[in-house]
Amino acid sequence: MPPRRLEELRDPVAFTVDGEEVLAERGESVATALVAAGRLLLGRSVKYHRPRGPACFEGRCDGCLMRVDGVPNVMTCQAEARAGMEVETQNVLGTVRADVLALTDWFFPEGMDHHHMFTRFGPVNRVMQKVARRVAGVGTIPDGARAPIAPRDARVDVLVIGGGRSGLEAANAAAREGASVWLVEAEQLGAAAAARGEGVPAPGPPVEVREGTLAVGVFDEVGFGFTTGEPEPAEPVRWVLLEDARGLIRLRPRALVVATGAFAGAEAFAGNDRPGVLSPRAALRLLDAGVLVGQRVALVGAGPELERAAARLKAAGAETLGPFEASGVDAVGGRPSVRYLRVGETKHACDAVVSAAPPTGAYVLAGQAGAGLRFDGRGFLVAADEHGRTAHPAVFAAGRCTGRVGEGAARQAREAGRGAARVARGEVPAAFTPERPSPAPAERGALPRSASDKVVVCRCEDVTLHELEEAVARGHRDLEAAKRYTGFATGWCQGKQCVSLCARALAALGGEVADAPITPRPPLRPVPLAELARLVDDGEGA
Amino acid sequence: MRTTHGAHDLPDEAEVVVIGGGIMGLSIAYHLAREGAGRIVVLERSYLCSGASGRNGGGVRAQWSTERNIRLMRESLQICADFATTMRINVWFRQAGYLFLARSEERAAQLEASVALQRANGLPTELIDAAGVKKLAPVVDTRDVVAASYNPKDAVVFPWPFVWGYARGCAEQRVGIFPFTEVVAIETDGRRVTGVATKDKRIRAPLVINAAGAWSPEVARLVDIDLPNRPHRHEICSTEPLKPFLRPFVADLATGLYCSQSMRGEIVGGISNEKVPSGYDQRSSLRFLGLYARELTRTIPRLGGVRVLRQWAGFYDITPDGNPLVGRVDALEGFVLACGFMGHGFMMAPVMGKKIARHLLHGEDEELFERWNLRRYESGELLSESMILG
Ligand SMILES: Cc1cc2nc3c(=O)[nH]c(=O)nc-3n(C[C@H](O)[C@H](O)[C@H](O)COP(=O)(O)OP(=O)(O)OC[C@H]3O[C@@H](n4cnc5c(N)ncnc54)[C@H](O)[C@@H]3O)c2cc1C
Ligand code: FES
Repeated sequence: MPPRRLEELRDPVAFTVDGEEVLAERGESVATALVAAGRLLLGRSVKYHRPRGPACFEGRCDGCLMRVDGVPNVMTCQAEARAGMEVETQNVLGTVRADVLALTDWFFPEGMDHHHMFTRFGPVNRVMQKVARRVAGVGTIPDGARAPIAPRDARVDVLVIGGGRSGLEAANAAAREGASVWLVEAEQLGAAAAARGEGVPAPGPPVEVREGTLAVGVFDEVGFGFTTGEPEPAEPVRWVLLEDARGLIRLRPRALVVATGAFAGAEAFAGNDRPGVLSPRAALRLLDAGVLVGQRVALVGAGPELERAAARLKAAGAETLGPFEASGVDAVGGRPSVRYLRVGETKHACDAVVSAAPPTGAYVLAGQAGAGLRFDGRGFLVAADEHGRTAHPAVFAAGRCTGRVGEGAARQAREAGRGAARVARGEVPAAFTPERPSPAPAERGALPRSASDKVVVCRCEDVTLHELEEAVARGHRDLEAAKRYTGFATGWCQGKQCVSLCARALAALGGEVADAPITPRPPLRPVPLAELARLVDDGEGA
Repeated sequence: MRTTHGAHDLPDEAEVVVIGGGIMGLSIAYHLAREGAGRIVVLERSYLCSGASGRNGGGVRAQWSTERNIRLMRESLQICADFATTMRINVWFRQAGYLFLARSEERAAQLEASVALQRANGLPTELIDAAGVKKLAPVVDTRDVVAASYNPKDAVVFPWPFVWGYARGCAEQRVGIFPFTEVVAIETDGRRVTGVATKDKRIRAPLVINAAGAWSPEVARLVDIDLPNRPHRHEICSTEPLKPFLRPFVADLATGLYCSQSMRGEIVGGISNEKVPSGYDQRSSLRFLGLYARELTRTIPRLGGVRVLRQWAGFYDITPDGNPLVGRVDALEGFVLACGFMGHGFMMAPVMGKKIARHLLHGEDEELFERWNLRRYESGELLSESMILG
């Protein structure tokens, strides 16, 4: 049996990785099959060519990007393994284990300030730029063209985003008020709650539940989407773009409830980006698929998800170490994936690290929709009152994305659902103006001391803590300025994984953290151009 | 070195106050300081790079349809080429040319005329056919391409470090740069400017430069001057980074589509979109995504499977005749405009910053500043430029 599978394969399918055959259970993701086969090293990072492995299993990081059947940068934790698939590692000169360009990682041990490199002599500068250009990018252009896919259209009174407890409470409450309701959930209903060992209520019959459907953006549009000859309002009209297995849906809701929950962000310690370091939810997802991420697993951080992951890992036969406090971890190391966790002089041997960073609210869609946001010292959240009202009269928010849990969240969600139904009927709700909170003092926390390896604050773009420090020293002190100087939040996850950590680090480094994160821009997850190419009619010009 | 200051350091007095810390304001301040203009202060409402200067595509080209623009931009290209070493900051200047595609006979004829003018002004621009396009950019679908123009000297830069480079150059010459400092009033004494006011401070100055880009009409309104320029939202987006496969900057004047592969490997580009909300709405739209994706995948079909990572928007600063508004304002002594740069103020800034500084201090380039003065809207003598993108 492959090293990390808990059960024999029942219905195996075979695919290849760089030409080598790998077996997967039918229906599981490519990344799951690779971890099961003992392969945690899936590619190399964009700048320093550091080893990369899957870290979130939620389509939110750069760890599992691979070329699949001629298409680059496929998130393999989200791609089902199919017989005959050809999967390739990317961004490699040589082999993924011995990548020549990993020399950059060694050459710049703390990171680099590429803005000021080699600017003394023209000829040297030109050579440097040529080399930089040559090695840029991850993945190569797809082999073939992909035909455009037409979007579908729909309208509804209330759209609820997020199929956790709050989303279901809100959807049911809105439906009881007589509204037509869609509830979209990127994975399955209650998936995130299950990771905490909690259940969710069943959806009431009039709610249209769409699992496997991701909301990718909220847009207020003029001159768009009215293709059937109906009169086009002069005022902007709100559309929510949804993506499911068949492509895009343009949905026009009258009111919106955002119940997108929270997820583990990132934590700062040396080697925090090594393959084998993953979130508690990732470890649980793997266990659900019958895969044990490691035999000796070190735990970092705290919280219900970590406790649950620890219990289930133990029950499945793994040994666990810790939990360690993140600020006390001096390094995680090992090649090509985790071999030890070091605290002071003590090296704890392990083959995986499950790290639970403080949860960060999934605020992006609410932010796009016009709700206010706030920083609670650890991460960003949606600003909403106990009735779920936000700064936008037709946008409600509830649950963990607003910082509420338990019964308080459930009440807030029901209120939000009722409020949204009333807005859909044309009632104007009482205004809620979130007082502009003076930004909560960031918990300065201890940042790692001088480290033996890079402390990565943004993994998609390989930004290190040292680079952030350099940016602050040069006067790029607020989140937007530091983002532009270092490049954090500009990678695959567009900051979902890193902004809260960067904000905490910035505060600890003496920078300024306002009450708002960087502008939350669409799309929530990268969308192929072919799916966007038929959003406007063929004949329509500029 | 620290390039910016907190509001508590604001002086009471300056020789020049520049309103707007975009590329134009900073370039002007830098050159004024080099020419010895005395104490200069740049006031920026938000962070540096928050305006159009931090949101653009970084295209720098000399392919234009008027002699004046061709010559100016040729000079700008040279400044850009040397920027990294003179200003000690990498702007990733990449000279792989601009490729303008024509998909109709009419467009081809227009390009042909521009190419002739450009060649007469010393540019190596060539008119090429579909096969020539294939050679320069093999991924482009050339089936309906009638002709194209290509100037190998046109280039792309990464915009942010340009702004930081000028900011540091300014700081080295003791220009005070104040982000998060909005000008809320301009003070006057009869028909002359005497200074500006921020929320909690007044600064006396005999010369005030309005380099507030798309917000310049709002700034001019503080002194009851009506400017003819208006903001027009222009959107742009970026794909996931890929290994280099596209060398030139590709543009199509018929649809306004343009794209290039950045130093980081992303395809960055935009397209004309006329239906946008008026005013200062900087949000992103689906209509833009749709128009852009449709034309981009028609032009480069292999991009169909490539994903859009992020989209954003900024403002073009549109004048009715497509030419900028620069120089002194007749109605108010000491008030100077440096705005109306449409969708190409980024490439204009290196050369125009220098020219504006020298014009103000030494009276150089009278003819240019006469042509581009606000008073042309009163005299009714308007100018035109046809190679405008977006
Ligand atoms: C999407 C996009 C793509 C583009 N692509 C290109 C391109 O490829 N090539 C090119 O050459 N050009 C391009 N442009 C145009 C170019 O970016 C602009 O012309 C140029 O940046 C203008 O610079 P600016 O300094 O005049 O304005 P801005 O950069 O907008 O600076 C004006 C500043 O003034 C500040 N301000 C406003 N009001 C006040 C006040 N009251 N007090 C203090 N400060 C104030 C603003 O905050 C702002 O930072 C593009 C523009 C956009 C939006
Ligand atoms: S970690 Fe994904 S963009 Fe920063």
